[in-house]
Amino acid sequence: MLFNSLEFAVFFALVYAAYLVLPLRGQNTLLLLAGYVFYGWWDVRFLFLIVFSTCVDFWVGLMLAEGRVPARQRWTTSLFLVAAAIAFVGIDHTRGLAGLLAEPQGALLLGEPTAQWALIAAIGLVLAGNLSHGTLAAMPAERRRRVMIFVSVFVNLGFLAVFKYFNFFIDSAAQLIASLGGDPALFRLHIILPVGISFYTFQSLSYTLDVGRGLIQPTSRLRDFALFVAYFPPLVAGPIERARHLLPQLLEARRVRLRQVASGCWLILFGLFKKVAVADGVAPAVDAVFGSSAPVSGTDVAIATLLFAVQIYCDFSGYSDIARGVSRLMGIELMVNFRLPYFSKNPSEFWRRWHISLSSWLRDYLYIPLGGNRKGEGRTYANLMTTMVLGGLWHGAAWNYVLWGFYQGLLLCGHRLLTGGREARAEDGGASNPVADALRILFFFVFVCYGWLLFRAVSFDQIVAFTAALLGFGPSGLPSIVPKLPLSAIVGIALLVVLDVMQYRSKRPDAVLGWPRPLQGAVIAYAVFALVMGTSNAPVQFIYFQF
Amino acid sequence: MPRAATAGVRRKALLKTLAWAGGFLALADLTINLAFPPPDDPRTPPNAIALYSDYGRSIEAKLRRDIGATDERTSLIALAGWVDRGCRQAIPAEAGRRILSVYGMSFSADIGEALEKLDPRFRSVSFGGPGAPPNHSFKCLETRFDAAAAGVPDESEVVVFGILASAVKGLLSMTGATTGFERPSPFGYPRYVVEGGNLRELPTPVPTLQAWREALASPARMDAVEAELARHDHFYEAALFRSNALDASALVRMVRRAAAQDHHRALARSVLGPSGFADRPDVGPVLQAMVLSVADRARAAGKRPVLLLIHDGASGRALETLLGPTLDAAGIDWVSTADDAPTSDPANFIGDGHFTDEANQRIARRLRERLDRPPRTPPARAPA
Repeated sequence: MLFNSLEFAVFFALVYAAYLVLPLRGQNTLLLLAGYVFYGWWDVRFLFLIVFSTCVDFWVGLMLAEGRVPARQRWTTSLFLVAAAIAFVGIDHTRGLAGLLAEPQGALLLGEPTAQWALIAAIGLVLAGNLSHGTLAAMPAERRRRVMIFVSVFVNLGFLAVFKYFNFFIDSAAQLIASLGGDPALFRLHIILPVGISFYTFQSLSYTLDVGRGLIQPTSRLRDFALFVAYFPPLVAGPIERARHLLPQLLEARRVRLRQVASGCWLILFGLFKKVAVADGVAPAVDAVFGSSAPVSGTDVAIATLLFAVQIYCDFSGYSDIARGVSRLMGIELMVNFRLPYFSKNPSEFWRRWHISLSSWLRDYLYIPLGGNRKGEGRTYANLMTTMVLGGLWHGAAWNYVLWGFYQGLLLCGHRLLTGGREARAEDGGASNPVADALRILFFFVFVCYGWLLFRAVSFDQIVAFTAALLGFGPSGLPSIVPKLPLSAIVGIALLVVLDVMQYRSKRPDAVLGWPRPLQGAVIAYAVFALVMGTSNAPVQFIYFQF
Repeated sequence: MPRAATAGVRRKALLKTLAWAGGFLALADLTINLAFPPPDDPRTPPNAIALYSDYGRSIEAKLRRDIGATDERTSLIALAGWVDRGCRQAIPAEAGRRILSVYGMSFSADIGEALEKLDPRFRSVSFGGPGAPPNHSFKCLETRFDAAAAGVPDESEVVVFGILASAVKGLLSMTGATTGFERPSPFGYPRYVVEGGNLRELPTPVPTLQAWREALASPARMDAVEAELARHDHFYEAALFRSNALDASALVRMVRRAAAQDHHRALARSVLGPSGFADRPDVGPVLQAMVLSVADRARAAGKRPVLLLIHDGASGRALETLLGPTLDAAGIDWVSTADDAPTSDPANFIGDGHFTDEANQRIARRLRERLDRPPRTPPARAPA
């Protein structure tokens, strides 16, 4: 269910209407069901993965903090997991509700391999968890902590390894497998990538890691934890929420205030405007160049890369804005995920402004545990590279993402080498020269854009060809293949630039709200107008859904 | 200040902001309507902004403006593509030239012209309509053969039947008025269905421009036209077709345009997807039966049939995949654009989606090669 679809508008209207009249407990149950409906809209079967991850991490959280899982929670978790296997994978949902009611027995898929695997996994986990419970409870605390952290990491990253990376590694090793006499096709899994799997696994994993570090107390109710994992606004494309930020808000009574509704609506409007008018508007131009099978001129590569920088920012930050706005309407604050990233003057600043929920996740759970910058310069560079390469791989199972991560690592290392790490936070305060700042921003933006070329490229050959074209080594005299931008994108980009510059200069993320009312009204009217214009653009799935 | 009072102030401030926003939107709407009205004369082209703001006007409102009481008061787009007007003309012989009658749309006409430029031995006479689907071309071809049987001379040696991949979805329509929402071309044509292995015609309710004039003048007649379109034309949507007060708002027109595009995209996807043409009984089998019928009728008239499979958009080789085996099995000559102007290379296309001149020349060369070879299956009798 896309945020920019009529289905979501109807879905959210119904959920919100019910939300406003229900008490807290009812609200949370509603939000949990809504999360499952929202996610199941893509494919009901993938809900089993969410439930599996939920049950494992809920169990692990309790084991980590209390050394045991009370019998009631064990029963609840076990029943929930097995019921989910049957309900989400063991029933043919393609028949629709009418089909299920008309012929319930025919809708059972328990003879199908997928359903059998799901049941085996569910029952296996239930047995393993319950049978090992006594042994684990009796273990020394530190050992138990390590075992339980391992279980959580293994299950969550195991999902990613199987569903996201397995075929990538098989394809990458195809030559080796073939040289050993094997058929790579036999090893490939015939599965589709569950939407947003990287987001909810990281979110769930952050909970167990934080409980393991003693930073938060585990929740004792499965329903609350299930809601934390399946809370629908950030479920498929972030922000990757932390338990210490989101969970307390889910557990406390909430009151929806007018101010929240107003700013939530503004976030939704602005997010939709960015996605529909701008990102979807420039997408055909980007696709024309990156989808071309023929040589492309350097100018076209530069234009398409620049437009992709606009597209990915508006697409992803648009999603984050809508998610934050929808959540704010319900009185729940999500993390800020973007802070004007293209106004960064260096790579270190860029990663404090771009996809903040991921970069801070990688910093807290990967870079710092690896030693961060505490173990000497050489180790710091190695840690930076490792973190960024794995961060690149997080985005997708393809070598260009690895290359993009490597490139980002190189930029960070290069910047550290030049500055000795001293400039790391200089941008956050102090007097500066606006002209010099603008030049530094423009200079670094070129590097950001080249990174996007690596990110968007469809093959290594294309990276080489496009880089050569940019450097003037490509074929000459080629006609331009970039189509004209729709009006919505042109007027949208103009508004975006003005708003972002004003926001940057005022250092206030909600600069618009401080403007005189007529001006605020004009901005809203302009955004609505551009959004309405943009509704004619062919809808494109949010880029980050594939991650 | 007490909390209730603060909330009251906030509410008032919010309402003021919303009122300003609403006011600016209304002003923008009004400004567009006043500053960029569509021209009164249907033959005067509107400027770019007027055209843009007019895209979402209802089909009926556009037809009322475009179709005047006489041809002189009718826009050129409304005069184009009519089978009864454009498919009966005589084709006299020309000494020393091989004449091709080319059926289809602008793509096929461009290729015919490119062939003429490439090799003066060939002369191309085009029959088509703006973005015409295969059912329009087929009706035009039938009309021509019927006219020839009635004595209208047709000295063409070759029948080139052009099929445009993106226009195949038009098999589900009966008029260009519904398929071309933004700039409707009102020409009508039948739909075809396959029954017992044969094509059956479902006649369009608007076979002539006069039929539209009568419908626009008579609500009862218009209701009958709409009822027929609603039954058989998948592109027809009452909310997109009927004129109403919402036509007065530029903003609402934009929303309607988006709704129309959404509707058309959904239909297009249901016909042609990333993996080729969908397995629809009202598309693939109809098209296959149609090309066989084209070949049979052309051969019976002593002409050589050549199918021109034109791939545009993101169609790849979809037409080749759908029709190639049928054409090969029946020994029908065909030329595909997929190798000479692959859709994966945007350099083959200009901004409006048509082929570049260079691409047209390459395709024309391929067509000439095919024409210079003997036909796979000779015509039933030598041309007169």
